[in-house]
Amino acid sequence: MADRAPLLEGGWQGENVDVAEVKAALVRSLRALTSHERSGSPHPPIRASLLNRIVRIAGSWDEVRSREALDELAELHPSRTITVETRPEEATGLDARVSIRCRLREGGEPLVCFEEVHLRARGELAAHLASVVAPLLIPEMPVVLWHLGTIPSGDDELVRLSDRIVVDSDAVGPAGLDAILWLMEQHCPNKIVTDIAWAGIATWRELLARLFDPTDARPYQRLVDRLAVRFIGGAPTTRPILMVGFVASSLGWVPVPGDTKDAAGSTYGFRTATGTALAELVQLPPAGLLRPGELLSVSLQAGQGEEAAYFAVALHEDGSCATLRSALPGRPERTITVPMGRPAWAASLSGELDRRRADTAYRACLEAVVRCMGGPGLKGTAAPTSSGGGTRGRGGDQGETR
Amino acid sequence: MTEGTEDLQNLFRAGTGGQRISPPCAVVIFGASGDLTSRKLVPALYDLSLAGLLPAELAVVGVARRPLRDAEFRDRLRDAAERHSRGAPLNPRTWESFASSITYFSGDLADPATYQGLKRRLEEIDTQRGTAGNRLYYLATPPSFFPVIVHRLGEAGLNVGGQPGAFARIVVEKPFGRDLASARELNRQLWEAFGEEQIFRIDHYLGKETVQNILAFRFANRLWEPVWNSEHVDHVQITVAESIGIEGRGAYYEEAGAFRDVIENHMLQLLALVAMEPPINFSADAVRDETGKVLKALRPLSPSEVGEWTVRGQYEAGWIDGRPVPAYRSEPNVSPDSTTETFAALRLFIDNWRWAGTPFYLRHGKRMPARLTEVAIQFKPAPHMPFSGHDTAALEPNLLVLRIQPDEGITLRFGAKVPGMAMRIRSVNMDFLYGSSFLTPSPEAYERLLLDCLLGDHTLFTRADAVEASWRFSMSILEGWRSTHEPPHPYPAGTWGPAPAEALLERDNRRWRRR
Repeated sequence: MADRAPLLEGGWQGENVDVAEVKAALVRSLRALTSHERSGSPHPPIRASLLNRIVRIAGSWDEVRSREALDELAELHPSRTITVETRPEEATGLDARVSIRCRLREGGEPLVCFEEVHLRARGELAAHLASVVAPLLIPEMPVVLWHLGTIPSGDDELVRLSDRIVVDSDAVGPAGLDAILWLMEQHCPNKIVTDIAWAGIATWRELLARLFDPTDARPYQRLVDRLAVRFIGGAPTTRPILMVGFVASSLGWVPVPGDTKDAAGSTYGFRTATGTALAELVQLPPAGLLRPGELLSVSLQAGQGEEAAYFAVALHEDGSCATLRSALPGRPERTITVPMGRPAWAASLSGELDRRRADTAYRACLEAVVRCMGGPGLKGTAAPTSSGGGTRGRGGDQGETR
Repeated sequence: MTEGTEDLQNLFRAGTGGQRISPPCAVVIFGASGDLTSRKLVPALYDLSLAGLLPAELAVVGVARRPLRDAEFRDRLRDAAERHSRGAPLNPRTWESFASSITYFSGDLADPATYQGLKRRLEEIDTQRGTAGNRLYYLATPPSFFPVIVHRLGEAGLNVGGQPGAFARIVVEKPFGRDLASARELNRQLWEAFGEEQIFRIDHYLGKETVQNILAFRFANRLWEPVWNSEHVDHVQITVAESIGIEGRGAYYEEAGAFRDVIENHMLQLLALVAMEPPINFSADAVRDETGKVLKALRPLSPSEVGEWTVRGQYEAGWIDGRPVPAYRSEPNVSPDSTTETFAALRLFIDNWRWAGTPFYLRHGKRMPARLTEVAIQFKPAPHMPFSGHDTAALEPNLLVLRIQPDEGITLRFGAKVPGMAMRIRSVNMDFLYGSSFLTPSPEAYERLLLDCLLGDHTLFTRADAVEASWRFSMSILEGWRSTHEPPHPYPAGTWGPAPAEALLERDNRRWRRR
């Protein structure tokens, strides 16, 4: 979004305030910023809201990270955003900051405005967040909870208040994936749970799928017996293992618990309809413009010897595009290079937010991942011990790909 | 390995409902050295490839008379894509990957040998690039070449796919004839070589997102359909105004005029979408059956009605955006005593149950004060007003405006109480801008339409019966004008047309929304 339209900003902030004051400030700020006089337009600019977004902040690092993500996404999903941080150790009270931001069209006239309310709940109030958040939601609009630094527990007040939950498994690492599965299964059976890391590999999943759109490539899907995912190390990430889970669950592979791993990565075994398959995660050191955790390539091999077929998606060094290659026996190699722009991330997450039904592919992927990391995968197990990505004490960081 | 694989699912797309990705295909563009190819078609194909909607097994073959090497052709297209692609500035790697699919084939379009050579080239491409024998022919030439290209394609056996089960489709650009007889003749010529299901008559207007949104607005909402009829609608105004002149197209425009250029095709298609009955589904034939019914229900005008309910205009010199602009008759390649209209307005009726008695006013002109396309649905006043006349003096009947361009969106005008002690009511506007709820850029019309051609989806393309129905209605007006020999009314550039266009609505006690 390098050429994003400029912003006009206005707002208010106060300490030790009550919710009524925040609501009044919201109305006042919106009026001031979008007044006819200020906009110079015969009609006030549009205040667009497609949803309410609650962002639960765990710390300052997360605030920056979510802010960046929200800015990008605001282009696609204008919303009222309520960010919430807690300071239980401080004296009870509420601090608030209201900001209204308007995208400007050419010539500087406001095109669309959306608002952000930042709340800091201190002391006892930290345990009663719904009481301050609920009155600030726009009625009749869906409520999305972004819980970015940790995986929320099922009895979280904000989870109950929300229609869908957005988590970022990258922030908790592979060991936190079973907590997400637990949340989906036990606490949010009727809510849609979206994982930013999963949305982040949407382009990769799509490109992998494209390799098999030609009808002559499809028979080889059932014959795939080798998967390699290469990625940049240096930071916690779930993307490589989610990619393995996606391939495994799509192709009907059954995980065989117990993996091998060394400094360079991990290997996972599977049973397939035609025999066995091996998935390999290969970690490479950070280099160039690519960020830690980013996928570098996904390659598949179907069969052995002269009858083998090969499929690969490989990112270019500067991350700007990827080349898709497929080589089928007796046919010319197919190659195409496609862009891998940064906006794809926001676009794919936006697509996830447009989803009105649970993502069965994500769920199947999670089950496969949890099972291949040694867990039972589904019901009938004890709850995860921690919302911070705690596992059930089976294997610890077994699935860590760092 | 490939036997019986058509039914195999792509397992990586399970549960996603699939993706609208083109099948392998060779796109053959006749008139490849022309403006349309470089300004619209190739940038659109490149943008589709960037969006991941084209397969690796796609080839673009440019066909034109002048000799050109592949590399020269690609360089020329690269420059054009740099100027006209939404993906500009071009990424060298993605462009090179796309450009590797482009080749050039030089030949005389009337010479049978050209088509034999093209056939061999396409067979080579099938082998080299895996295009599977699928062909999409795009006629980007002047209309006078259409018959010979179609005939030669059929003669060379290029009117069928290059392999068993493969497709061959042909895309025809407007104008689809210049009157009913020539439209019928063009259809006949097309049918000699191609079946109707192979033919895509492209009207880029229908590829615009906001035109398609008329369907979404009408048929995805419960609110509008109950009042979308003559019981509640007083009248409908459709305006397509352009501030530009004829932009160097003097020779073409002298032959066409405003009516043939825009009203007969774009505006009647727009009218059909606004007035159609709900289709039973969104399949091509279901939608085109309903739009076709509207066009067939247009009441032709008698010669006397043409005099009374239509207006022709021609712009004189004037000022637009602070700049002086010349008169139409002073434009290059325009006769100094030309009687071609650059403006037309008319009143028409749709003779069906829904619209009986509701007038539709259409207006299109060049060199008007602003570029503007909109459909305004003017509702009747409330049947009973419980407020005093004084309190509602500033109240106007409800109005719904579908803005196609610019500022795509919808405006609804309704009455609201003015704050204060008295019960005074005033009209207010509720505006919706697409740009505010969907900040993602829309695809260009040609992207959408080219992809539809590759996918074989006819929904946004004009069927032969609709083309003929449009001309049948239009001929009543064109023949009326021809018989009177009256010159068009002059209007200064930068105005909303000649005075008689105002009088046309005033006779019905109405007025144009923008004037």
